[in-house]
Amino acid sequence: MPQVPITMPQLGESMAEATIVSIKVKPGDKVSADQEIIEVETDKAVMGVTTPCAGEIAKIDAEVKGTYAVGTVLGYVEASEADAARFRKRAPEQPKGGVAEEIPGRQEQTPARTGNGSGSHFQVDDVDLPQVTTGTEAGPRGSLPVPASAKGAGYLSPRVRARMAELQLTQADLAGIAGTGTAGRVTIKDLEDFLNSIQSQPTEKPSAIRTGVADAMRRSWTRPLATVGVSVNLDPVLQDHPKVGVVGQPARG
Amino acid sequence: MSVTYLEAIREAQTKLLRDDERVFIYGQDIAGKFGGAFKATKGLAEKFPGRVLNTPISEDAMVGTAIGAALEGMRPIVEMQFADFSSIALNQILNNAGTHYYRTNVPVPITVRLPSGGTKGSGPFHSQSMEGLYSHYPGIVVMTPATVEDAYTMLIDAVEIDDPVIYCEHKYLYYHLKAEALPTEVFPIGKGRIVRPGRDLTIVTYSAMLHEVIGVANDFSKEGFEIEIVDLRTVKPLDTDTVLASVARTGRLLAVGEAFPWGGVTAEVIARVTTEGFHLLDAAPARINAKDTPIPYHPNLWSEHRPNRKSISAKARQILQE
Repeated sequence: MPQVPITMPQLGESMAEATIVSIKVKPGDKVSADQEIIEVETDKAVMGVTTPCAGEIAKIDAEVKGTYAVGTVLGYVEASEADAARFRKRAPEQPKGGVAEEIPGRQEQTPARTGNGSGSHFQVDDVDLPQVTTGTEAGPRGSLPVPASAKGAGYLSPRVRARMAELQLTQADLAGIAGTGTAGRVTIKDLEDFLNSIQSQPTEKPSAIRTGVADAMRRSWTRPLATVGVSVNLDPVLQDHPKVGVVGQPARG
Repeated sequence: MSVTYLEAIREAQTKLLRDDERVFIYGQDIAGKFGGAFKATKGLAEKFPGRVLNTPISEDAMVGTAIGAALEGMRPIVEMQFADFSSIALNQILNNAGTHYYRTNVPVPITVRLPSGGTKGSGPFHSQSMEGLYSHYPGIVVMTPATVEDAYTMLIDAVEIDDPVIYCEHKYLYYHLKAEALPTEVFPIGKGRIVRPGRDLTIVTYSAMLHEVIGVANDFSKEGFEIEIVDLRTVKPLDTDTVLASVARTGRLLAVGEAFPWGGVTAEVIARVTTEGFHLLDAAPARINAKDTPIPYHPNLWSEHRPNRKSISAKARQILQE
């Protein structure tokens, strides 16, 4: 029976991680869809993590009192084929063993515990989030999977990595830099030019709100952007328009 | 008044013969009016009677005799007629000369001059660059002067130091490379020279390839890329510090050499930079050498076999765009 991952959801707009308060199920328990199975505490409130679908709890990897980032796999639900198929379409395929990781050092399936509570806002432990890779998809039907190329957009040269380590930067920090290397990778020159340009800008200590907004914006760079459009028929509104006054204009007729 | 590379070598030998009575020159066809296959000793036998001697056609005997003379306190310069023939004396050079000081505490101060490198039509046995082979063995200093000034000062230094020295002089540069005058200052052996400062790519090279690389750098300068050129000058000991400092500035490395690719000077440069300076590299290092086949005779094949301005440019462009 296929296993569907239980991931830490984004329970609030500015949420980066949450601490497990209690785990209400154990492996073997039967669960229904959207059943609350884990209680977590964010810096705002205590909230619930629900099952992705109906089935049986296969395993819970998270521990009480542990802090896990949004997106971390906390456990698995053994579900029917139909249910699992829905998730398969949404979640990206994890690269099989033997395929080099595009970004070395990323943990795979084990939940990555973030360090102390506050410091980890700036560490995005993206385990199940879609990776922006150009090479880890399987090649044309029947061929071997293309290994993560050293020339992909996410490639960090030894020099870039050394500089990032020196400045304690992460992959997310590079997301805003235009790369001029192969496939748009960020070269050391791109990084140094960027650092020089921000050095020359005056700085001031940001308020808590600004820090929260900045953190959310930085995290948003690792997610794909989507614009949702909904078409609306305004005829009923416009029909009322002459009768009801519009701000700044007197009512007509 | 101009001095060719060959004349600089002749002048250096003149100075050595004049200033140091222990020095003598030993080679095939170098004495008398002939003055050597490339005229490196022209006039010297007359000027210094008994100090410029012809040998039989046996490189083994030439180097063996020179080692014996060196052990007795002389400073012989052995002229190989072509670098390629020196392989006959490998045992003498690598096993006798190279190890002697380690085994007996008595140095062997011989200098073996190798006319190296190809010219059009010189073929597989008159074109070889053997610096990689000699560098592989311990106890031997290997020099590869690329300029007229270095040809002069480095030969004098080679004879003055107590180690056995393989002095690779490039045949093409003999008459094609000219300088205004002999140098007055000495750039020390064992140090590489930044021929051209740059910012985008480091090209490490030596001997005649330096001049191809300078042409490539000038071409790229027009496109806005500044290539930094390091002339190794002495291949063994290799000046790793200068190379690493250059890669620290540019982040990209291309090593260019005329010798065969397997395990040569360019391989050693890249091995050192990747092990000691991995974090300095922004792109994978690369190298260009001659092809891994015997050197062709036909001029068209020969010019395709060796690195040339086109192939060096193509590789440089590839690294710059990475």
